[in-house]
Amino acid sequence: MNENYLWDKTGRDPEIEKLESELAAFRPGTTAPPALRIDADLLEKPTSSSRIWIRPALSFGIVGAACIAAIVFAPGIIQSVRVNYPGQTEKTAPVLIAKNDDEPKMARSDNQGTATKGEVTLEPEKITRAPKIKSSESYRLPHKIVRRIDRMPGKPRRNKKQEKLKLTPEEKHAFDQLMLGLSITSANLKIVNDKVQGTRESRKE
Amino acid sequence: MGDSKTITNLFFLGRRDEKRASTAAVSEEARLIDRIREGDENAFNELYRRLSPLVHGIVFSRVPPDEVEDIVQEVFILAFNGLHKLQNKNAVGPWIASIARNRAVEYFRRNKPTEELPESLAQRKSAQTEAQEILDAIMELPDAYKETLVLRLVEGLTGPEIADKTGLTHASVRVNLHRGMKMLRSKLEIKR
Repeated sequence: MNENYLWDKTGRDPEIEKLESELAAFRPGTTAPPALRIDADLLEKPTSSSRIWIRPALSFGIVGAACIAAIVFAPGIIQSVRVNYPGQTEKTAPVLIAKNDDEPKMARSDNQGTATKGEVTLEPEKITRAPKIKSSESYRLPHKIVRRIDRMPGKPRRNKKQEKLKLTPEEKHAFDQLMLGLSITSANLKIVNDKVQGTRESRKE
Repeated sequence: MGDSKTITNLFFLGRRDEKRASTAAVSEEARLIDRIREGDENAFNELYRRLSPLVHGIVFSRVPPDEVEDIVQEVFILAFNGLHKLQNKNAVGPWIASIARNRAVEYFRRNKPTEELPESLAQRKSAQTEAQEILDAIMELPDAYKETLVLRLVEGLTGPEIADKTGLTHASVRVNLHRGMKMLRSKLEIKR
């Protein structure tokens, strides 16, 4: 048997040629294959190149939406964190107003610092700077605020020991991680925004 | 043994040219895929012309001859509809070959073979041609040898073409052809 002929039809091998001539009867066509008849209803709609981009675009959109949501809620989270740690400017400092029977309500300060009967205010100019939170995780409210809160009607006087707001190491770590995550999310959102703007500009061109 | 040594020498000598030719053929098919995805119908007809011997051979080695044409058409319809799933454009041959094999398996799952009556069997034997005898002997071979021999002897593809279109290595195809032909020869000698 001629192996070359079996491999790539170089040379001759009568035995293999005979087999080929006999089996050629089972070949579909001598010249061209039968025409491919595809009915339109058998075919799905042609997949456009846009389908190839659906998955990346969808993931892109989800990431963008997540970043936007993080950015929208980040100021609120930061604001709520800052409320517990006074040291804000005089115009943005919240004012704690308490009437005789009601619970204290938050209101904006107009920097006048007036206090009427039954009201308790946190005078912004008294709040100098945010206290430093040390690794010992103990934090004390400023002295004047402690006093004013003590004067709220109906609220029992707190001991000095109870006034300390202790942060456990896990809580402090969680807080730091939260702030770090928010900063990263805002950076990612900026990147996403830049890419979207770049894509729109290239499409317009 | 001399034959195997010859095969080994030829294999290493001819490998570079084969690789260049196979790379060019594969690139052409990749270009056809790109054109098909853009909506070029002529490109799909060209791809059909190139790959129909492969699909026909694979299906022919697995299902009854009467069903081959229909199944070949189904395979190409499935391929056309599933082109967006094809990740490697350079492997369209092996991809469509796997569709053909799966479709052949599915055919047998749906259509269980029926037992023939003795009268029909006697009639078939009397009208059996030499071609049918050779084909029956090929169908008794293991699947790997059977498919390769059908592609070589029935469809007329060369060894390098079989390797390119099925994704097998040249060495594998050589081995299948050599061992398959050896087994076919012994079966035909036994029958005669």
